[in-house]
Amino acid sequence: MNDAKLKTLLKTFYFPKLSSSKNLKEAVLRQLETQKQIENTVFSTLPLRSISLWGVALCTFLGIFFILKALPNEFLKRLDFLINFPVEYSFLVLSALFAVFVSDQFFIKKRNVL
Amino acid sequence: MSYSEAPQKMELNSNEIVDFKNGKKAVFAKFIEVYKDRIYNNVIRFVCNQNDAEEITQRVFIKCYQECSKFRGEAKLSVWIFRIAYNESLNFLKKRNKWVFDEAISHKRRTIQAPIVFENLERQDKKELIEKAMRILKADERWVLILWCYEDLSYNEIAVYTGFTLSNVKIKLHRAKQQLKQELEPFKNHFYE
Repeated sequence: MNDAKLKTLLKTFYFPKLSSSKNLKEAVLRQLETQKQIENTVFSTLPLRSISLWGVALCTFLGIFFILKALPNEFLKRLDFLINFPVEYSFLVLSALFAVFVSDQFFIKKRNVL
Repeated sequence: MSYSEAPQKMELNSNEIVDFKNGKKAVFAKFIEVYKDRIYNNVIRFVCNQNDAEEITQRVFIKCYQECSKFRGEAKLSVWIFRIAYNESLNFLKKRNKWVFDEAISHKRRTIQAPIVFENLERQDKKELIEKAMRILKADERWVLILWCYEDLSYNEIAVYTGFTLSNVKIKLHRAKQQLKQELEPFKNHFYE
């Protein structure tokens, strides 16, 4: 079977040209209208995504700051680590989340912007 | 500004593209009219399911509306919407875990079991045979094949439409064609009775 035959075969038997449902356009426009109404609330006006991003960035900065502060004295460093371990662990998790958010943003933009 | 209903093959002109980027509803309605059948047809061939294709097509247009300001106009509008259609279709299938099973099978490159009786294949049976063969293909190979077959695009154009490199397109398309030919070869005489 050559390429031309394969093409003809597909075009003939596998989903030859169909028409989408007549009300597809209306359905999309209706959904957009509904979405607009839902989004138009007090909370939707807040840039929640940016706030969470900046929040996580701040936490990361503070985490690094506290770790560096504890560095000079070896004993204090260990003590500090034990006391602050839960906090630092949270910072670590938040840092990972931050990285995920940033990469998410980056790939969304990269995929859809042409 | 008012816009007339667009015929099937009409494209948006430069003024309309500007209005589209600004999210004007009237021109967006025309945009849907221009692309809905093209997107729907290719998506249904990709997912092999009418209801899913309807849903994905709607999602594609909603996504287009949400992201219209990001369209920079460096590529054709059709390239942009086709990439969104491919990403939305993939995401849809992944979320529903529908393709996971098929993908797993596809890696093993299974072969279609020949039906016991295939002397008189009906049109529907023929379609199902091809559908099974299509499902064996990997998602990206299937999409490349659809663009090659139904959109009549060249290798270079497919590379632009998908974002794959030219050599990657050639490999994927070659694999897809070989796989389909291999699967359909035993039945080829029955397709042209």
